[in-house]
Amino acid sequence: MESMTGTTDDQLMVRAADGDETALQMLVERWERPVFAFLVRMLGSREEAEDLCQDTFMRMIKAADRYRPDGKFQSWLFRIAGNLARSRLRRRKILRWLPLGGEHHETPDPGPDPLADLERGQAREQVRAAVSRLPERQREALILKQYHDLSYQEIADAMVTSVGSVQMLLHRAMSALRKDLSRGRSER
Amino acid sequence: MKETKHPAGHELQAYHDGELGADARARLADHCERCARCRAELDELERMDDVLGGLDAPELPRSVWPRVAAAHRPADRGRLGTAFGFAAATACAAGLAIGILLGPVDFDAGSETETSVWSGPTSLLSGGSSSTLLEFYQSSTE
Repeated sequence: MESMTGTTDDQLMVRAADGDETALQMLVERWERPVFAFLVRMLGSREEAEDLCQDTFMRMIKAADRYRPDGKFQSWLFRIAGNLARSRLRRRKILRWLPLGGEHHETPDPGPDPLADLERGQAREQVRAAVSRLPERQREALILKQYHDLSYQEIADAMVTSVGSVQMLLHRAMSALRKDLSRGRSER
Repeated sequence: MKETKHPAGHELQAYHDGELGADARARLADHCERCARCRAELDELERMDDVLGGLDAPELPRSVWPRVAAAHRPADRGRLGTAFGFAAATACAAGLAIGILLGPVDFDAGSETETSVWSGPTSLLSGGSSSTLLEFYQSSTE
């Protein structure tokens, strides 16, 4: 990834590993927003996401001298963040939906087409809830693809799995979401 | 024309995401051109993308860099460690001194006990000032 200054993540990581604090700061400031957004969507808590965002970069620093500059920085960083998120979720031992922040919307009147309603932005909370109810790995794959534009290969690298598994995870996630959203709609 | 088998759901998803190789992509494109059911499925995937894309990205309230920087700088950690260590040592020494002072006191009689094992300056036992305490602490830690 190129920044405005034209320095790649790999170049910054090499400099950071040599103790260049400016390079480190550039990396953190370049990636803190995507990492935070990813963690909020994984955990459903802004407070925890902020803590783990900091932890992600602390781990990045610790592992900087082991990083191989092979152009996979994004996957590598999301792997760290994903590990932390999964570890936190395991600790919580939850499978419940956590509110992902933001405003609560009034429940709209049922219309003839559930997805059409959703597209109008009247049920963002339901979508957030449906995403957060997905099994952990399906959710992680979906978030990385949908909100961070990672390719299947990059997701596979981040989740330490195969491209085939990513394909299945995404398909199952999408199917589950569609079912969940349709069911939620018909129950109202 | 021979009807091709419907692609599996995960294949269709990968086709929609532009993740198939050239051969598979051509095969699915050919199939979908003639299959209303698979075209409808692709439309649904497109709509789900729109639905999911409608969620706002959570905003980071403040940069984590200052905290990351403070936590990782060895110089700061060293300084913090030294300061904490000195404070802890001082607190322990003060606690020890107070313990020693209070230990031999007979609370019932309000006088010194006959079995006192105190071997420090007697002024400390008879209500020494804070400067005396400090002098004693300094001399005992030298």
